[in-house]
Amino acid sequence: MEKVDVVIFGYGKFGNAIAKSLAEAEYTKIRVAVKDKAEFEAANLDGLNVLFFNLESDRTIQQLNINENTQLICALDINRENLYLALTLRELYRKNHIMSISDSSHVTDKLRLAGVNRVIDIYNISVNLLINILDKPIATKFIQGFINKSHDYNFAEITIGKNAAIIDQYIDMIDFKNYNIIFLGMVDKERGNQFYFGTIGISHRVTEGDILVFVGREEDIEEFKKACGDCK
Amino acid sequence: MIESREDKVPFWVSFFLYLAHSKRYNNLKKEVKDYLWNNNNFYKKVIDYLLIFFIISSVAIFVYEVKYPIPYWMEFYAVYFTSVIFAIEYLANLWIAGDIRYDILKEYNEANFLKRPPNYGKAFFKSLRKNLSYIFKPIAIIDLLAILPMYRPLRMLRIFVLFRFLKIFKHSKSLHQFLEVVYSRRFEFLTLLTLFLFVVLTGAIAIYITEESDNEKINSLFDAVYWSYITITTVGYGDVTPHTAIGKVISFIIVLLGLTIVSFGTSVIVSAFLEKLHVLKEESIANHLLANEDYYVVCGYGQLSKILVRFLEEEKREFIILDNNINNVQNAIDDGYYAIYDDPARYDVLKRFYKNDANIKVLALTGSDIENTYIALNAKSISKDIFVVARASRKELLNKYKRAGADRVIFPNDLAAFMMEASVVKPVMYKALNALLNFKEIATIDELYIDKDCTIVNKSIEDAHFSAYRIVIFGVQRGINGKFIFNPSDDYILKENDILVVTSHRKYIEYYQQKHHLKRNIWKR
Repeated sequence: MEKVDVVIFGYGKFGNAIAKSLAEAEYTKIRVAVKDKAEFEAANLDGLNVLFFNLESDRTIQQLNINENTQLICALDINRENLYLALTLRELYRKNHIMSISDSSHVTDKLRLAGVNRVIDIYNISVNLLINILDKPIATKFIQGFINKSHDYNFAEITIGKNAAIIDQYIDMIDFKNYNIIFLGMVDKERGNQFYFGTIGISHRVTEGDILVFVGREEDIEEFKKACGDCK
Repeated sequence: MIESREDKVPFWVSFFLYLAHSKRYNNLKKEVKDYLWNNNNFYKKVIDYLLIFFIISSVAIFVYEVKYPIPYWMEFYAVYFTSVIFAIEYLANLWIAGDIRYDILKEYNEANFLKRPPNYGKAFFKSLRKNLSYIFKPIAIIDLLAILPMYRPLRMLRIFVLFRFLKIFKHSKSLHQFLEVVYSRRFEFLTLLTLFLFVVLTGAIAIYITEESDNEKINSLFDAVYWSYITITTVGYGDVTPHTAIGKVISFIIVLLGLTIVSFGTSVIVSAFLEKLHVLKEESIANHLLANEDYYVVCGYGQLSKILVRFLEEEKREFIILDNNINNVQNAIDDGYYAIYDDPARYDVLKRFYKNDANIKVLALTGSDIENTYIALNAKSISKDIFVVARASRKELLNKYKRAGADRVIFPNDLAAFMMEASVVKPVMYKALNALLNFKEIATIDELYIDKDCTIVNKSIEDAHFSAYRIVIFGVQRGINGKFIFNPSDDYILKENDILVVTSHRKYIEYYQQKHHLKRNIWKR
């Protein structure tokens, strides 16, 4: 599988956590772009591929060797700088997928206006989790297990190939329980790129290119893939 | 035969020893004390309001009775009924003020331990002194005098109706607070009073000496004191006036002094109130919070807390914000929330918001790990029952937080990193995760609690027909502290106290829960 090229801008409180998390993930090639010496040393010490850039010089960003498939993450600690970076990146790389961290709904709106494709509102998600810790502690412990990577089961997505065993079958008719995995939802390519939860009550016919999302143990997911045949 | 210590115990002592060991008596005394003295007890408020009603209504009847005849039932109510109620309250206060059985028991145990002859009389009088010290408290004297109007033959005793009115001080919190403010400035007030009396007397003696022979209205020193008092207080009835030039000069001087003293007194009261204002406000906020059974103490008012309290406000949940940064507190107040400028890491600060048996959640959400762990430790040192959720800057600190007593820890930075990783590596999965993590309606994660009355207890998952309602079971936990079983098989038998972690559209879950009498939100009181 081809590695995803990612450039993370900033190695502060957000950039640090993101870089470490992505460095652990398979199939990623990450580079960290920093604008000061302290961050450079910290990232270097953590064994990451670090580069310098100047926020006010587009040329230094262009020298980072960013191609069309590179995913860009704006993770500077200061909102104003992060917004300026997002504007610059969108201006320089119109087709690239840009992601950013936000700490409030106002900043989220501004980042979207600046052309960021995906904004992760850090405190909004945290508060949702926090509230549910108080109201639904067992359910949130289950969810937190995925974040902390403490479960022996995980989320997995499977892309259906042309010769897969479940092609043309209706998703409702497939018994995933036999494989000890939980079907969560799918992207039905015939309907576009929207994700449909299995719980909404629409029966999908499995076609080539559909992406199915499961929760299960790795060995069970592999077992299902094997039975499915042309899946990855 | 060796005589045991018990054989030597006099009858009255054994009676107190019996009381000291009687569970029923001890519980009764504890409950009465709680009802009468514990400001956080709901019934204390009810009793206070009832007593205020009895006071106002009976005083109103007494005032009305001065000029107009009243029916017998009204007289019975104002004179006998309310007096009996006040007498019961007085005796109950007297009863709980001391603890004779405790002092007797202490003496008994000490004597037994040290093998010395006991001195029960001394222990009895020591305890009695506690009761007597209550009797001589101003509020207890007022209580006692408030009962006196019951004795009708002596009309003079009717003036004691005033004491009945003064009883309101005891039951009205704001009046009580006013007295506390005045008491806190007692030194200034005493100085002022001494100065005032000195000026009144000096003025009175001066006017008496100069006008006694020329002024028919000043025949005694009392008349002179009366004139001096009325002039200094700037009331000036005008019934007694100076006739001589020297008398008028004395008037100029003491009016000037009077104005100074009155201004000084006013400024002392105003400054005392200004100083105490925030304390009174904080007390009022704390009392408001403690009146609830379920509340949140949010420590720190940063970006995370701002979003959280907005939600708490929308859900009409009770909360208080504590922060040791004055700007953050001001921001919280400007945003319309109850906030107190104090350090939540301090024992006495957090203890103010603790109530026995309440469902308290302390949320340590400051930006500092040092502060947050300290707050968690502080909360747990007050009570192990306080549920603590803390914010940590990174996952590596989890054990430190657990050791500090935090029940749950959230890692906003790691959460963001996890989401970012999902977004980069598995973009489809990210959409599912985003919906689940934000507990969106379309795919909400919920807990369903199975109790003995629900219709699916002792049925297999297959027979409970979850899939017919498009409910996906992630797992089941056997009891509140039991083991979590991921993706249970269809033949798994659902038992009482099982908690199912499910996902579906919120409407499906709610419908299924109602149909099968399942419980949700079991953690809320």
